[in-house]
Amino acid sequence: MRAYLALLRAGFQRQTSYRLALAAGLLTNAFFGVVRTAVFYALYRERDQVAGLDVADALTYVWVLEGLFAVVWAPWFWELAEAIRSGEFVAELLRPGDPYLRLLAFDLGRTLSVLVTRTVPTLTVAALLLPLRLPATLGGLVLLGASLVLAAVVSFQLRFLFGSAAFWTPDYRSLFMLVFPVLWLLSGFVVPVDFFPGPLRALVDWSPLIPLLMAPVRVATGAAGAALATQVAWVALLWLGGRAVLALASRRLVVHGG
Amino acid sequence: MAEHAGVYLRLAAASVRATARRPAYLVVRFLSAGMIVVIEVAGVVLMLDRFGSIGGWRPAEVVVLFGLAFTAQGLALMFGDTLEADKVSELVRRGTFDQVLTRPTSPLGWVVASYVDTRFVGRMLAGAVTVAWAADRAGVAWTPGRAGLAALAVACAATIIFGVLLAAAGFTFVTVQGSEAVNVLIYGGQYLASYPMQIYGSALRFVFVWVIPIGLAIYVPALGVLGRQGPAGLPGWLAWLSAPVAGAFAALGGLAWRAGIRHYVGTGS
Amino acid sequence: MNAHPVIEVEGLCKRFRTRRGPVEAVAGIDFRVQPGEFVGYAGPNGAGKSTTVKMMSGILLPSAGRVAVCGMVPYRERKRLARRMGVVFGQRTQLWWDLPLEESFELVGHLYRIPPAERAARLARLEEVLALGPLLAVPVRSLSLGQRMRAELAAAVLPAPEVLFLDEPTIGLDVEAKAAVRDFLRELNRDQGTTVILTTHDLDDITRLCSRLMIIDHGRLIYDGTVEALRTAYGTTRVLVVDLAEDEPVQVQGAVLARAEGRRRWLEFARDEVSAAELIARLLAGHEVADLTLEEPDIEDIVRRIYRGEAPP
Repeated sequence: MRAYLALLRAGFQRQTSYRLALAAGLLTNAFFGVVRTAVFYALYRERDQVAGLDVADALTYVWVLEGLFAVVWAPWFWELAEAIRSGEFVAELLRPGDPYLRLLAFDLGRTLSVLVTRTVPTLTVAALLLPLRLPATLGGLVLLGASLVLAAVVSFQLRFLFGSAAFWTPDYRSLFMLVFPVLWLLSGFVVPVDFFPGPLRALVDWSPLIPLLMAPVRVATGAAGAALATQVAWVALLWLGGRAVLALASRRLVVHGG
Repeated sequence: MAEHAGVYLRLAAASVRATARRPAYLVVRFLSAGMIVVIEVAGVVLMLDRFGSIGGWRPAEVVVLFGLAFTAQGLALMFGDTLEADKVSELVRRGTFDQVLTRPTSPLGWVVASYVDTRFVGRMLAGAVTVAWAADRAGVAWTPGRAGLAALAVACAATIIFGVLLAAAGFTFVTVQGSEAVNVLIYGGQYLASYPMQIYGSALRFVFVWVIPIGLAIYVPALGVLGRQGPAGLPGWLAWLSAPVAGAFAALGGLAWRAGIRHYVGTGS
Repeated sequence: MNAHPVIEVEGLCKRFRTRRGPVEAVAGIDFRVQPGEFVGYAGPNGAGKSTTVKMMSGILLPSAGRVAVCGMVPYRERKRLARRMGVVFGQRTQLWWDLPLEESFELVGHLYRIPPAERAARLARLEEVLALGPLLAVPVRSLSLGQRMRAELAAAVLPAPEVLFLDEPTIGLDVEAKAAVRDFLRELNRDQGTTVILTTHDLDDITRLCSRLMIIDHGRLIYDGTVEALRTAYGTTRVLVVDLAEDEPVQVQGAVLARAEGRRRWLEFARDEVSAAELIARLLAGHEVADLTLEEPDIEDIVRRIYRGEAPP
């Protein structure tokens, strides 16, 4: 247990040391957030509510998106895949303990760092300047915090699955490049999923991409219960999936020798 | 410089040949770049259709802006990608830039021509297709004049983006560190210019019309293409102003590049 | 003297501003190189060699002094000078990594505006001399270091430069490859009259190729003369490093004790006076030896000896 906490701390410290990247990242978030805010203000000038969202919901979506951007699309995305290709990862599999949990601990340390240094400041400043719809009670904020952490966990789990393609092919990047645009859209990073037409929306609501962004937005704007439940369910499912993949990969390494 | 043009074309061709040695990889990058444009446009369409309009502009009209901005960005990055701060920073740190300076060419020409990224061709084409499709949806009747304005918008916006890259590269010679701030201007600027400029507050509008004039370059000619009247007080000939403005901006970028090189030669990083 | 010197350097200085304060990498050097000379340029690491070469090729601005190459001021007429000079960096490549070698030569031809017929003729000769025929269709990244170095040389001399700057061209090469490179350079200098400035650590390079040697240390020229003179003065000494079984005084005919530490002895002897084998035999005859190695003098040694004031150049 202590080992995992140590990894958590190590990940946290590692990520907080990238100060220049943090400054640049905050700048990027701020800029895109401002532009998107302007867009929604213009959109909502003539209408109060569209697809069940009003301007406060939309603005909350914008700034949760900017806050979570670096958590979901982590800049260290390909580190696992590269470690697999280079053979370094074999050592990881041979160590005692649970490799999946170890990876999660280190990654979570890093994403927690991002949450603390980027997500929270971004959301706070936005909340002070704009009419966001955020929980007003302490309990509500705690739930929001939990939702953000769950998003970070699911982000790791999905990144793990994509990275693990490296066990089977050297073209893992190309594979991802082809799939990425669709993921980008379906996870709600282009426009809120709520604006999708009926049948598409219903389909997308069942995807593991929802816990990444749309679920935290919903927890923030009020529909906490269902959103949190979705996140927890996907954490569990992706956990099982991740372990299965790891087991398959280990077997493959043993047979093929990395 | 004209005497060298043939040389730069050959260098660029060599770079394309080099990347063509892994055709599958090339195709994937091309497709993925195109798909990103399509997806972004699809998302915008989904959203705008729900709202009906933004700033008085119909969805199809906004998508024309998106298309123009993407095409311009693809064009600029196709050549200017090598000027990205991270890459220049690596050139300096590894000492490879010394070799560039031993060539009988202008260092800018060499750096630009030595790697032409075809992935941005995918972006460009997708952008152009978007313009065509959206213009059709918006009921634009193409005339040579309007086509000229569309081309002007793309050329000027591309020049401005290229100018940003030049200036950032010049700075990188001095700081030797990459900078993400440049990406904010290149990707953020493109995103901002993809919506009608009147939706933005005066500060944003000022910056992106008169300081980094990509808003000017895309918006004003687009008015002409779409047959729209600009906000009151906007003269019709403003569209043609975007050419000298873009040129001046790129020239400033060029000055920053030159200053950067002078610094490099002086201090021999 | 004969024709106008190809390289003229007068009072050349270069100061850098580092975190530790101002550093004078080159502190005032003067020399002239005549056309057709083969000059070795040596010195310990950090002595100022590459700084000087950079100033001569126009990629670095001098802090003070004058430099002229082919009658031009390098940093002012960089592009024009680039047409008449060739550069080969030992570690880095000037070739196109992913493309077949022949395409690199084609590009060099276009870059330096070599008429196609002329280029073909020159290339044919270079191919023969450097044995590049079978390598032409191979992508540069697949070449071995030795093959790549031959290719770099070919690419550098294809435009028939007046001056050739070489930075450690034989580093990392095996004996055969080194010989091939040296033969080629010797012929180039002799037949084409190309002026060559060879920056190197390798004493063999210097003794086999250079008519003249300049040694730079701490930004100053501490030797500028013929290789022969230097060889006679310093280059003939070798050192036998002996670990004795017992700490005892050592006296061997033909060798001089240069240094002693514990049971280790450094014995200097003259190459042409006694062979290493002979010396070892004499040593073993009178002493019990635990271990021994043979050291060749390197530039650092020579520099040290010059500083100690031994035998003027």
